[in-house]
Amino acid sequence: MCAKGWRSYEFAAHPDRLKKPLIREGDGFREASWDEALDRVAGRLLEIKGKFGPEAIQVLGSAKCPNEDNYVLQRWARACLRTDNVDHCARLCHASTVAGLARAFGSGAMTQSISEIEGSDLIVLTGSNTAEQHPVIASHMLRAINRGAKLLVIDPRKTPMARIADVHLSPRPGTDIAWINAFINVLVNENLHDRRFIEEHTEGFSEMWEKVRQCTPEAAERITGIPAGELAEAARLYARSRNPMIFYAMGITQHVTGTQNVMALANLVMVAGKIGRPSTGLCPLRGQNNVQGACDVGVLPGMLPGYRSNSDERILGQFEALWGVRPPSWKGIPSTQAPDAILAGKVRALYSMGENIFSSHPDMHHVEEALRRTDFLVVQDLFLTETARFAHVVLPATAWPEKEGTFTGTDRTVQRVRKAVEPPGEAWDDWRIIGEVSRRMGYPMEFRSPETIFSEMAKAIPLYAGMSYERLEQGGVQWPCPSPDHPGTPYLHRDGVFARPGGRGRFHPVEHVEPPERPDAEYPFCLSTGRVGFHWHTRSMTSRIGLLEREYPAAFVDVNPEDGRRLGLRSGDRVRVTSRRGSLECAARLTDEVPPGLLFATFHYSEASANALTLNALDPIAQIPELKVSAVRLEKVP
Amino acid sequence: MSGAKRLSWGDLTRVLRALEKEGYEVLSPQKNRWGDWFPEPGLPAGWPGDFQNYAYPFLKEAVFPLEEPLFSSGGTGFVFHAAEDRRLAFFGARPCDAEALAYTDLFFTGRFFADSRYRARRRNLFVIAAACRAPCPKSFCVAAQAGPWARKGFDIQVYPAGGDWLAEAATLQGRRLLSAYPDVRREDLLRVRRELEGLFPAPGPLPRHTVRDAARTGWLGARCFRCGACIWLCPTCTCYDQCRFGKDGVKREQDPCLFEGYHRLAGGASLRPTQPHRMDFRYECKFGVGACVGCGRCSVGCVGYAAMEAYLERPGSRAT
Amino acid sequence: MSGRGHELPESSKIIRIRDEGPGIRSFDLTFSGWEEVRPGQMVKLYAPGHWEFPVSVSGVDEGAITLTLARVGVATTAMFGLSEGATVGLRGPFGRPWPTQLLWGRKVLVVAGGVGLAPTRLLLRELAGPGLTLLYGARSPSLLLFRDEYGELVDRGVDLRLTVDAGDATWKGHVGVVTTLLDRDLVRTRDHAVVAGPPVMMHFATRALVEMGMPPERIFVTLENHMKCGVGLCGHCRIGDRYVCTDGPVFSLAEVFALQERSAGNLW
Repeated sequence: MCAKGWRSYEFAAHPDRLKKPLIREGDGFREASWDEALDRVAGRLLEIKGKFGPEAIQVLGSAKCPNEDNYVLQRWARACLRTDNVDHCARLCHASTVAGLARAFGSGAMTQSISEIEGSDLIVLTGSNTAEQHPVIASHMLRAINRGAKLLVIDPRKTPMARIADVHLSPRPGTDIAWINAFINVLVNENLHDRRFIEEHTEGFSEMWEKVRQCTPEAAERITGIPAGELAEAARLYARSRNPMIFYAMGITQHVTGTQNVMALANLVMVAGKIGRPSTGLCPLRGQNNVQGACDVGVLPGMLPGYRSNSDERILGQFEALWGVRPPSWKGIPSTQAPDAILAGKVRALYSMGENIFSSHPDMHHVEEALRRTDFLVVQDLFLTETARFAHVVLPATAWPEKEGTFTGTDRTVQRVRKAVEPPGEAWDDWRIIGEVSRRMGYPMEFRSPETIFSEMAKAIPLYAGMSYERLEQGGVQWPCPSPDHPGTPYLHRDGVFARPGGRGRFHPVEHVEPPERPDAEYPFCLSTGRVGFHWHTRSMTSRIGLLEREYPAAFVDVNPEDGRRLGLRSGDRVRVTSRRGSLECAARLTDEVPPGLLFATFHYSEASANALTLNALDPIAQIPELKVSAVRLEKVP
Repeated sequence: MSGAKRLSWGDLTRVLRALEKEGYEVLSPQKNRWGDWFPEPGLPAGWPGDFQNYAYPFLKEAVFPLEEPLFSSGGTGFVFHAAEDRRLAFFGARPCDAEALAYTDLFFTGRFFADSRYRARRRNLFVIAAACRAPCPKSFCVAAQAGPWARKGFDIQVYPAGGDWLAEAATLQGRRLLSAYPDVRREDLLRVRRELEGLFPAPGPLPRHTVRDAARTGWLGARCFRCGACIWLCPTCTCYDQCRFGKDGVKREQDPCLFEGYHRLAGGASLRPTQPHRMDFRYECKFGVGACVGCGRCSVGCVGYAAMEAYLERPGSRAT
Repeated sequence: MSGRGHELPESSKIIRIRDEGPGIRSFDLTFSGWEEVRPGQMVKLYAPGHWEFPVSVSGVDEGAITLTLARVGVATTAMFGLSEGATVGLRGPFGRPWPTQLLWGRKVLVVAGGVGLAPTRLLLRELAGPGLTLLYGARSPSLLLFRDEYGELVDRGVDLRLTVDAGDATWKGHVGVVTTLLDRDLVRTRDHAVVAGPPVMMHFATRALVEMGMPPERIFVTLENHMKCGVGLCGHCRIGDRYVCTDGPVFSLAEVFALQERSAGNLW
């Protein structure tokens, strides 16, 4: 386990845990009974739905809640509220993966299993600070490395894995398509590509090659800053390795070109033919404990459970039979557009389960304005988060040691999570809360337990069809698992038969596009944002864990020592970082982890969050924000 | 005579029942359905042949828990939070854990100030160690002279010998419980010990740590991912931090020296500001004023590659 | 000391609070162990709602001790929020004190910086006389501590020399860091030195003393900022095989150098 895992029980028992429902009174809250609170929620939502229509309600699910909670939430949203405005924080992290890999391979998930990592002979990490953000997966990588595997890291920052890498390439932030295309260029020009695989298992190669033929290492060097020779060597290393695995995370996905970045990586993997067998493939590292599951069960606009489009008549019919109500066939808005929709008066009510969008979304002031303007905001959570402070009703929910259900991990493994302790006060399970609201709104769902919810999930989602609690007692099962006697699927697209209709992987021609905001004379630094390993996101849990909070008690910005010297800074000096959206003050930390010209800040501290600076520019396909590149200036505070 | 006795399995069970009569809750090793060993209340049906090390240092936890309240404000003064008064008989403690207990006994009760809570719990603890027949993953207890049988830290130690058990006592209380059983010749006990040692790989001696060896601590420091597992899993780690408990109290919790916050002074400066510094600090302790019993848990729990296994495999770290 | 005595704080009332300078405050606190306190020792102070931290004792009186705190972090900030009459927790005293018997009657040079005057204050009282020289420096005139006591020290024969890093409109004295008050003649005509202050100051002051001819075994320092539990159990103050809170906090510089060479990490 990582440090957070070792200490995670501490927040669950914290005195700040919400124990009773709260209803807004003036500037504060008063405690209320469940009856009063649930009646209030049901009543107001019915009112708003009646007056403004289902499109005026936005529902946010939680990537931290088990599948059962999320499944019930999206069913309630679609069948009771009749809205498709259903989304969760995958919008901020791997929406581009889901969109990109679905288009390229037919399935938006990690193609391999974590257990296959030790069989790899080349670990490629790009845009992933694996040692800090996925330490357990990094431990598998270290085992592979101890067995002789090489480590290639392509990341603007010198992360802990970059420091022990055999090769570390440092591209300018936002230029990933350029180096990926250059890799493909080298492979094809030097005859290192897998012609047979391309011919037999893919389509669209020549279109893609049209774009990539001029993406030479020299051209890529001009764009990315990576020396051409090193880039070409790295490409050869990838092609010549027998079992290379590519891992990626936010550094690839959180861009305006996020979906295209993912498609570029998919192109590379298919060109090299390194997919469809163990210890190869393309591995997006999902970050939340159940973000994979929340996506699987359909907490996504336009996607019914199991990644089926809600514009497909057949699918709509299936769910009508299962739910007694036909789900809406219009496509809801993603959470990143919700603040705009609220400010435009299109969305009037927001129901947030286990999400703290005030702190996690870009352009914080914009989000704050929207939260203030929401006619009716319900927050269902463990603590009174920054978002909950704007709520009209706050509902206390259970934390992980108090929950019964299933989580789905990044390699598609569905596992049981079992209740160990009773929740504090009157905190209720999330699925029970939603069920009660739904009943009071005239749509009873009558789930008696998480197991009955899972049974319905298995009926509703072909990927989960062969799973049951009884079966999961034996251990985790990886989807697709279409029938009870199917063993589960460790790796996807076996032998090159892709999940896309027709069975072929698709190349997508993509080319480098400059990020929407580049450093200029007024804002000369590039700001990248992210996390540290000791804190979880908006810190609603980890600020309440002593040892973790002690490690990183306050906001900071990483500054390269050369830049620091130029500005007369020492580690610990207070600085002000300003963008066109806002400004924050924090301590400077001089480190060679960032190259000159790049600053790095986290979004953990709502009082000084990097999201006060980031811009709400969205990927046109996945609607994921550009969190990795903004232009800022840095000044010492006297 | 060796001071050791010969017992059948039935005799052992009778000893455990005698302890129960004296008010002890007897804990024995049980495997849960996922293959993890836990000390559970109750007498075991038989000796679990495949029993290896507990993943967690339960014996240490019985005397020095992961966290505990110390005092809180109350009424006219401060209220002392005492250790719970609970007699525990631990059947099946590993020799490495018994040796570790002997070290923590010294640390918490044999130096400048004694820790009254540790002492109280220790008085209430009866340890029956069981010599090991197979090495645990990544362990090197023989090199650390803490296995496959313990020299100290137990009340009774049992050795599997054919279908029987040889049992030796290190305390008066242990001797009293074994008094009824037949004596064993010294040669027999030594033979059983040698047989057990034969089942373990021949060890090299443990190294001495050289401080400020930048190459080694740099290498390890780069592979430490700061999870803290090596501290929480180590039966001889004793460092703790004192922090807030509720609104007006203080508790202590075990504190990994691999965390930057451990070494931070008021005002922000740090005595060991980098991971290599902290690796140096940890190994200086383990192979110096502290202790290592070679149980292997740190290497099993390490999420990076910087625990004992990594330390000992590092070229140049093998002792001459 | 063992048993409950070192494990449970006693209730202590704040009798009096004095502002010593910007961000520095002295607290007079009731304490039953007041007679046991030796110069250089510390007590553990419990700031209500926070945690305990070690503070050196800067003054002793009938039934009470004085602690001088600089506001540098969460717990000290909490202390600054308290008023006279409030209750805190105290236990101790802990630690190896200044070697007063060794220094008695000798020519002693005390070099103190900033808040470092606090842990030496009791020692100055006991040794005050013609053989004692005090070099004391602070960042600015307002940060010179216990100014109202300088007169008495001088009356008793103490050679008192003050300096500030940066003067102000009214300052007519020496300007420069406290090491600028040192010179070879001064150092060579003294038997022992005592150094206390912020880590950086201690590093440079001890270096200067050694360079000017004072043998390390005759220089005494306090490493009080390393400590946490005060009783040698929590491990945080360990340097090599020594624990600052029980083997120290007072050490001779020779001990410190030996420790530095064979221990992990930085010393100051």
